[in-house]
Amino acid sequence: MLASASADLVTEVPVIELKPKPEDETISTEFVFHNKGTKPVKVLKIDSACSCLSASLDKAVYQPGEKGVGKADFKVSSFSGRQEKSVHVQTDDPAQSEWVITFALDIPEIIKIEPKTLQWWLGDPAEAKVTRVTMTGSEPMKITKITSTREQVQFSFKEITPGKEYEVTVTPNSTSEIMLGALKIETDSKIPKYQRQLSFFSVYRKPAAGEAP
Amino acid sequence: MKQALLQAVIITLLAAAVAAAALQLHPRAPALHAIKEPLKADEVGLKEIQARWQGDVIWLDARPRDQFDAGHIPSARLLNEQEFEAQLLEMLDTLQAATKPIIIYCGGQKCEASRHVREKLLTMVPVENCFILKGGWPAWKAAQQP
Repeated sequence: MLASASADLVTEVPVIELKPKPEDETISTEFVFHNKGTKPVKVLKIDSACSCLSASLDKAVYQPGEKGVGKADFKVSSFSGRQEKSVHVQTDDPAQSEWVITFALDIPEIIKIEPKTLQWWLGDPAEAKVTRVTMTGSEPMKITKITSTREQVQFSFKEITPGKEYEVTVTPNSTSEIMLGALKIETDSKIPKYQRQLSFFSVYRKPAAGEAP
Repeated sequence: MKQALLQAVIITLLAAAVAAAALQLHPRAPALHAIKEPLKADEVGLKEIQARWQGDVIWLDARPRDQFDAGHIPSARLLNEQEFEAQLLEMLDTLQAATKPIIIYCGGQKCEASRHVREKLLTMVPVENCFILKGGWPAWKAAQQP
């Protein structure tokens, strides 16, 4: 029995790795792929699963065995850590109607805020909670100033290890009303996007058991 | 009688063939597999939004800014992965006062941005009744067609 002809677009590596620098706002890469199948394939559409990633291919139709080159642009923005994103290529071949290209990005994290949100439930004791700010990059960074978007909290910060580790303490004046707010943490980083960081705090209704979130 | 039946079968087959061809060739043919997929726990459809809340919800658009600028659901606010924290900061007042459900949408069935934005939002701000619009912006646009 004869096997039916089909296209088979594949990249040279299963996952395309990207390693932006801390200061990068965007990163671009080119990748090679080829049609391993026995039938020409036409690319109909390219959808990205993330609005941060766009990709294009050098042409629309690839003959059996033909190599192609793709280009991908990733907006690093405020992403950090390892991120996996994909694009979905729709083709005219029912045997491979969708070809998924996966990208993995290792975005250096040079400032870590944990926890990112300090949370109290309505009616909780209005006690102090602490968030830890760690400068994880190679260069030391200092917190220069913190401001709050709400007046109904008290806050302070102290240096644990100069240029490396800080503790930010937040205390709500009351937990009797819903409140969502943020602390604007300013640093002396030379990289503009790290000069202002945000951490959040909330006083909110406790979800009923089993209820989202 | 037999001939009439035969003609009916032929007409039906021809209509099905034309419909199948249109589905294959039309540049904006619907993804039928996506339409048939049942709603996930975090999803709502436009009909449900209308039925449950009469359309009175807070819309969050998880697409890139340029796509948002090109067109969005009326009254939607931009909250995407790229500028998440800065945009969240701008809408804290809205979220604090929110009593309506929050519906997040992105560019379509293949788009995962609305789900990622929802996950991030809920870890930072524990808002209630937060859902993803099934089908995203294309579903909303299609529903506006006469």
